[in-house]
Amino acid sequence: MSNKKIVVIGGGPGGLETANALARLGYSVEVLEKEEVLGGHIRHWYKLFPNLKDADEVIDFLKERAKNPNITISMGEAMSEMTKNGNTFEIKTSKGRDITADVVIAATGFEAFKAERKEEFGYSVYNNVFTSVEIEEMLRSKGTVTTREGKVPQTVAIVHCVGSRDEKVGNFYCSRVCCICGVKQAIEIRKLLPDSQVFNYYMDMRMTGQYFEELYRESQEKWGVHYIRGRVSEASQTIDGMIQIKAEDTLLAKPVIKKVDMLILMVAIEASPSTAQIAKQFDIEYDYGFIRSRDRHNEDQYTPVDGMFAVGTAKGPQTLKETLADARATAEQVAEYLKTSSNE
Amino acid sequence: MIENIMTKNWGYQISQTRKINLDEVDLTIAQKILDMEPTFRLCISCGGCTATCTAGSFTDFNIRRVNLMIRRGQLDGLYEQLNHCMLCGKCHLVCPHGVNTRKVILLMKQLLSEYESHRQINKEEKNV
Ligand code: SF4
Ligand code: SF4
Ligand code: SF4
Repeated sequence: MSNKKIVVIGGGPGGLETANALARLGYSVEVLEKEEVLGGHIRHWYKLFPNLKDADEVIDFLKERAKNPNITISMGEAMSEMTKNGNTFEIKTSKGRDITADVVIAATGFEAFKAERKEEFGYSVYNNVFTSVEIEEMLRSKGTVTTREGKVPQTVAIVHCVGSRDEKVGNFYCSRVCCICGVKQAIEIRKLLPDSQVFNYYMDMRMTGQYFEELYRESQEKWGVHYIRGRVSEASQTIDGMIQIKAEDTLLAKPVIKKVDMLILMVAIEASPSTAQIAKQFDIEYDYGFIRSRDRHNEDQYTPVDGMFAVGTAKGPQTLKETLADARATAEQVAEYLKTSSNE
Repeated sequence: MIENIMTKNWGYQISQTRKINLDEVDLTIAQKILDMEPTFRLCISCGGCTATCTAGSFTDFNIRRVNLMIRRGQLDGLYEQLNHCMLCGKCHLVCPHGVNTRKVILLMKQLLSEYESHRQINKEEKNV
């Protein structure tokens, strides 16, 4: 088989599954993971939409598959610099190692939008404003949802599009996963706390994936989740420590206010610093720091840089399912590239 | 019997249709505003502006709805509604799509006042 050096940057689902698939095609791969653990963001996740499967099931599957002699995982080691020198890439790692690679796969992923940037929602100012990520972590660690004071919430509001579709923070795009995440978290809260009321404040319900619409329907039919079509304009704290939110119920054409025990912000998917670094340095930025593929339909796993591939959310918002499929496609495209590339 | 039923007045009357016929409405004013303030095209009717509008919480005035009524050619009564606006610009600050609502309001007021004075003249002519 080829003795070309293949490096995957990032040990999240996209990077791991690309390495797994390449290893099964007979290629040796090195995975650089900056953390001391594998799995990327989903390791903070509790259950996955649309079927509420444990996130751990996917991580365990990916890690099990990665126990392969063709895969070397370098944990706690990040790419700090990367340049292209002729046909090869020179990578400097955070551990001071220099790697020369023939093929690089950017699996550098995303970062959750920093909710403080939308000051009007009062995140990190008021106690009981949470991000969607914090709710996943809370469900994972405690198995339930409580206010920061440890109280069982009676009313919860979920705000959609926080940091997405918002010119004010410079993100025109839709993050594609947060509508369904709002539906999922609403169901989880209703299941755990049958006396609670959960309200989703949305601009458009975007059920972008297979079986998402069904989960939305289930949330209404089985769990009585409420939906209000209107963008929340601001949140404030009342004297009794609740969060009051303002919106327009656009379907009624009337302003509405509501007090809730917890406010959950569905934060956007933004390019991670490493994703943005690669996009910028190689001048292959699509927009907003994400990496541009060579052609969105025909060569979506290739980047415009010869020998560099990109997988998953490094290219923009994707669901986990899409990322895993993208990873398998990337492995196949890398193999094709290595078989046909003329730079022997 | 049957005749009775057929001739009986059940209290229904032919009333003007509530439907807006989009093939017949006059969109001249809407088009003018869309041309003069292109950010007006970007409204997604999210209601952020109405939610934050002080005038809207004390009166029936709803800036998002007024904007939409203009774009559907439903002009009657809008000028008076716009009188509630204090031009504070808060709606512009919250808009996620960068609609310059304040500018749109100023244009609406200007164009609608022309429309209203024409309407007045037409009414008076009819009365003569
Ligand atoms: S998926 Fe839904 S919540 Fe997320 S950005 Fe798109 S419309 Fe907003
Ligand atoms: S806030 Fe902007 S986009 Fe939303 S309804 Fe008002 S003008 Fe339209
Ligand atoms: S400018 Fe007018 S419409 Fe906008 S928030 Fe102020 S009063 Fe309301």
